[in-house]
Amino acid sequence: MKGWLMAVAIVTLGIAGPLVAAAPTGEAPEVPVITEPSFLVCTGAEAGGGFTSHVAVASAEAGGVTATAIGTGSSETVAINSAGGADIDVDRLAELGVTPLLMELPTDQAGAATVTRSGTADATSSCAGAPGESQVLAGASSQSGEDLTLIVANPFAPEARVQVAASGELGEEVVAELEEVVVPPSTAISLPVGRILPARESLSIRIDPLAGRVAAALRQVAATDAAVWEGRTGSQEWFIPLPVIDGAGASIALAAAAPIGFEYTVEPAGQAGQGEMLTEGSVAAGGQAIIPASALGASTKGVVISATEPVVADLMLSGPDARAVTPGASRSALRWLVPGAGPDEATSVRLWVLTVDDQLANITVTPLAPGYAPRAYQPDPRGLTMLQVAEGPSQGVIVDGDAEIVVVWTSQRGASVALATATPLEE
Amino acid sequence: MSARMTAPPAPGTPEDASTTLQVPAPAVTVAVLAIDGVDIGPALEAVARQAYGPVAVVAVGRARDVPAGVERVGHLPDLLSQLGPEREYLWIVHGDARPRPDALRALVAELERNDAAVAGSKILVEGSVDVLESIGSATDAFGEPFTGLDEDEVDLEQYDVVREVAFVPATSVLIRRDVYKGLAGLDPDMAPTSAGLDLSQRVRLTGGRVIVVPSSEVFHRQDCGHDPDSWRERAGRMRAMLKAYRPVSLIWVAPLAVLADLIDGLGSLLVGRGRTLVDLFKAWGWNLYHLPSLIGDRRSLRRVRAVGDEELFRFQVGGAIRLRRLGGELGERLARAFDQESSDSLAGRVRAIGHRPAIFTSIAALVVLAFATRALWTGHFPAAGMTLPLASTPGDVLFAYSGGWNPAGLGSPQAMPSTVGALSAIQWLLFGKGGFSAIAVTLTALAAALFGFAGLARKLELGLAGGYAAGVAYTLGSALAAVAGAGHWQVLLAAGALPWAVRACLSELGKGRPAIGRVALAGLTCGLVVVFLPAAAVAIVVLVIGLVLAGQASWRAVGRAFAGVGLGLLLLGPSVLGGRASLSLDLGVMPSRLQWWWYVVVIAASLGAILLPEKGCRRVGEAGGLLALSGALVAEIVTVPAVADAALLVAAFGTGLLVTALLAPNSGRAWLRVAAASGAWLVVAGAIPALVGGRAGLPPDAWSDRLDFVATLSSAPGTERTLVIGMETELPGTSRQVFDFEYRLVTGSPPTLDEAQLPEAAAGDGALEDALRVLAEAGDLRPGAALAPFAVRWVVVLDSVTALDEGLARQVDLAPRPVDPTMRVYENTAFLPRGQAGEEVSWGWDGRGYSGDPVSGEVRLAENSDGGWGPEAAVDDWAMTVSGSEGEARYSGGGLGRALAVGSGVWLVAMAGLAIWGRRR
Repeated sequence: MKGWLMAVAIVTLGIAGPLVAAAPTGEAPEVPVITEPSFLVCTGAEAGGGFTSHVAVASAEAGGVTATAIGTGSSETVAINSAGGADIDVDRLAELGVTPLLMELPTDQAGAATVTRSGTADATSSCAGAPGESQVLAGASSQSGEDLTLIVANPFAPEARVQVAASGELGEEVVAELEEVVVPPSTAISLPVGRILPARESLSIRIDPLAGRVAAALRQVAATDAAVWEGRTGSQEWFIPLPVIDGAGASIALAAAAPIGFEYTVEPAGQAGQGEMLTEGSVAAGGQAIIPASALGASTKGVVISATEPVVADLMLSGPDARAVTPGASRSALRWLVPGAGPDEATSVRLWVLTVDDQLANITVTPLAPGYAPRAYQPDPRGLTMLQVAEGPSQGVIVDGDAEIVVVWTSQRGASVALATATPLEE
Repeated sequence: MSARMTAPPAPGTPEDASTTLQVPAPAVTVAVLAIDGVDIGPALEAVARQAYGPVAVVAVGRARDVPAGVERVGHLPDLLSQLGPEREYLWIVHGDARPRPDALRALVAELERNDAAVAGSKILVEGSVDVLESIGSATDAFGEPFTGLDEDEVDLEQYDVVREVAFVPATSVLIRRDVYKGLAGLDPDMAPTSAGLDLSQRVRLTGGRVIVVPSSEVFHRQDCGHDPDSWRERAGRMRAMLKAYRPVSLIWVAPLAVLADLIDGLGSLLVGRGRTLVDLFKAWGWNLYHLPSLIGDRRSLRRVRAVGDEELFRFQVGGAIRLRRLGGELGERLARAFDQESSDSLAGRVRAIGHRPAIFTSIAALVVLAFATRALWTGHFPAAGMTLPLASTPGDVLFAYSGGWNPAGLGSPQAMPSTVGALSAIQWLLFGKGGFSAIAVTLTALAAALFGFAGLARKLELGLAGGYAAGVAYTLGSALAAVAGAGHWQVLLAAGALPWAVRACLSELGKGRPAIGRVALAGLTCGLVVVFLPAAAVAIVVLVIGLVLAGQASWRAVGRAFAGVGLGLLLLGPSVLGGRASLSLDLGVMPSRLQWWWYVVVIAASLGAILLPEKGCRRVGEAGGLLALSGALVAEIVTVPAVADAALLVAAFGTGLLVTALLAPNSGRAWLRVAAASGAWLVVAGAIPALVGGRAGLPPDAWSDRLDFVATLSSAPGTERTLVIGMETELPGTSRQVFDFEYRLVTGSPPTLDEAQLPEAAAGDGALEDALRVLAEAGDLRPGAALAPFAVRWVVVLDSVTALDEGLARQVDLAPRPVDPTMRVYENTAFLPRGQAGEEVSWGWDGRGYSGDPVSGEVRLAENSDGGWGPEAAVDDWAMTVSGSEGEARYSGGGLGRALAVGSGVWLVAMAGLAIWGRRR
């Protein structure tokens, strides 16, 4: 071959190699879409002793539900037929003490609630997920005579570590023993917050995960009643119905989901009230706000709280013999699952349906058991409809609205009041 | 002087017979040592002609060796009793020696004049031109004699001075009677030379002097045939040393002697003298056997010892004479190997070394290679990518290779890669030593690549010096480093055989027997290439075509290449020819891309090659450049690792040819030659990155001990698997992809080569992928349960993988275990064994199948289902069940594979045999 031809060939080949190497290759790999497994943690469940819980689980779809006691590992699987529910007695899974349950559900269109009783005291709390974000439990108190316990459950195999921060009327309080709390795998721990931070009229607890994921609940026991409520992650909007219960006044506790200050506004729920500000305020970092319902006006049946930062808004019902707390709803929905909302002879169960969309014309309540017919109700034009659940299974009901609503439910046994927010379902 | 040179004096003509002693001469007893089969008559006559009067002659030996009428004793010790006080000296003379008439007189005179105890003669080789045999010897610290004479050194009276020496040989030695009797004479257990050494040392330790008397000349016919290198002599020297030295000296001398012996023995193997090592063991054994008498002799010597060991050291030379001799021999062999055309004489070869750059480049190349593999020499073989240690049971791997069940991943009937079969066979031949085998094979392959390329360069008449440099460029250059860096260990092994294969294909066949031999050699060498990299079959043909186009062979070479490749492919046996063949194209990660500077250097060097004045060099250089750049281009284009490897082999070979050509010119303008050489050395400099880690470019170790926890925590070996998740470049062997990470199952700790290459995915592999998808999407609270059917007990997630963070944080049955800070390890709390025979009973993989306690029901085997399993195999989803009644389950579906494996082994031996047979003339 002629020299120049050879040179051309060599240079061509030599240039082609790096050019090919520089060319983009292949397609970007597929990225997994993270899905939320259908599970809930019923952190407030207890077995034996003074308090006994049962977990009412309800599902809009059929399937098996497995309840596993965190700590003992005992489990029980129950089958749920289409749009039904089931009761799980915690005593069957553990002998004594705080026994959070991990509920593995057949679908995310399901919910569960813990119903706890002790003597005259009743408490209900919704079961929640175990998020990897900060959770807040507002509306607590450690005044004399009130026993306040924080329950942190780690239902998962990896160890979890959390930082517990408390804020009350004294501002944010630093407690060394709460700065890094280790929650071993598949374990729940009880922290006596009331003893660590005694005599606080109001307390908000924030749980910041350092590693792993936990579910948290507070149990506040007074002389004649008890309240159990779960932690929630922050949101900038909260819907709070304000039930009217004899002997128990309503108030709202607001705390940030991070150690930062925030501003908030409180407006009446429903489009009619839009733009009408009931109150507003600002909270310094580490602080909290307590808003009595009485300060919002007697005509206010429910509010929408907007905040400049993610916050948690808890609804409190308190009276001389009554104590109940539940997180508000961070969104409205057309359909709500109300597990556990079943009456018995001694208990009066009421549904409180907050009208968010003024187009609401019909409310339908469907007991989660065969043999019960759905019942339709007209919404209260004042914005909050109280529905007495006169009959139905203990597993609960489904509440449908033809427009956006928010549902909480209360149960009363004697002077004791229990309160829980229902579970919104996806449309 | 010349008058006396050619022969001893004739009988009846005593020299200087008129000279007599003026004083009464001391009486001397002459002991003539009879030698088996040697006529001692001439020796007796020579003794009789001594110009020294008072002698009594005694023959020592068997009656049949002693002429009638001569006084005889059977052994020297027997003579002790006959040495009365009237006899002042004992003169020991070999039966094949011819002392000059004045020999004894000179000995006696000088012995007395020097007040010595022992005197020896100058020994000349009878029948030669006064060639010196001995003028007394020094020794080293280990008793090895050192005459100081050159080979065939002629006596020019250059040593004619009476002096003290370490010892004198027993060919002619005069000793004082009292000393001889006091020391109990010669040690009867020792061979002659060592006995002389022993006696001399003992004499010296009692304060006596040992001298050599050059004026006493003795001609030695050397009929005794005594071998001073025999094991008995070696044993005797050892005994002399152990007898003479004080304990404080023995403390350091004895270990050094053992070390020197070992080096000598092992080194002698290199020069094909295996007897040395055997002799060594025999000598040690002999001394152990004679230990009691040695202790007795040491006690005796202690009683008469007058001086310390320093008196012995005075007459010793430094170092170990045997090792010096061995070094010289090795150097001579090396020189001969470098250039067979050089002079046959050592002196000539030594001179030639100075004038041949090939010697220096070869040594430099070896040094570079040794440096590039320094980490391997320490016995640490990296485990990374496809570079994985060999399993500890090569028999089981060979069984699996030859039609057995392929246990990689979730198992498969698919044949294992031929690399596994070949390396397991080698390991089996090396007594199962996996680590040693891997290192030995790697080092051998690299050395073969270096020398093979140099040999090819010589065959192409491009000079050996450039050939070694080219060998470095080929073996350690960027192209092969890119392959090695990807962990494709087997490609290095193929590279070792490639130059030999190309060379064999280029050789003309001739006719008849040589033709058969060369075809077989081509088949054998091509087979060694394709066994380790089947895709390299194409590379062989391409390279041969390239060299044909460069005018280095006729087109018939291409035919030979095809024939060689065809014959070689038969060695692949079950891995290619079976019904469930595996072409081993997936070698995990692609080799890394060549750097831009490699292209620049190779383009520049190739353009320089075009300017070379000599046509042969120019054409080879052009071909080398084209092959290098073409190979690199193909490697960039293809997406199959094995094909890219083969292309890079071609590129590496091309760079080697380019370097050879650029370093070859001996004519043309000086600046051009300098420029060409500079270009060549720039290409060679591409080997520098491969020197960094000392692993010949192989990746750093990643898996040797990271999975040790599996073995530590495993309760029942063979029952569990480990799921390893990471990036493709991090995982051992080949892997499969889900989302943006890769994964694979391993069973070994560490993972071993036999499971490096995952077989084609089957139903179980699909199910495993599904389980991992769910885990990655965090959609399952119980991924452990999902992984349990695959017998996954351990999940190892490398830190590079973040896609699983959510799923692993939100699950309940994969318990983190903090066993390694560099990776996340989870134990599956829902684990099920590979062979599940009920709640309590589990079966484990035993290397050839499953076994465990017999059970009445079925046993589920977590392997991809296949009808070849038994007894009574039944499909269970993607896995299978077998009857548990026999306590074992075996796979018997690979009958053809076994036959093919045996056939390929026979074929290998046959080709090797034919290649050897064809070389003999």
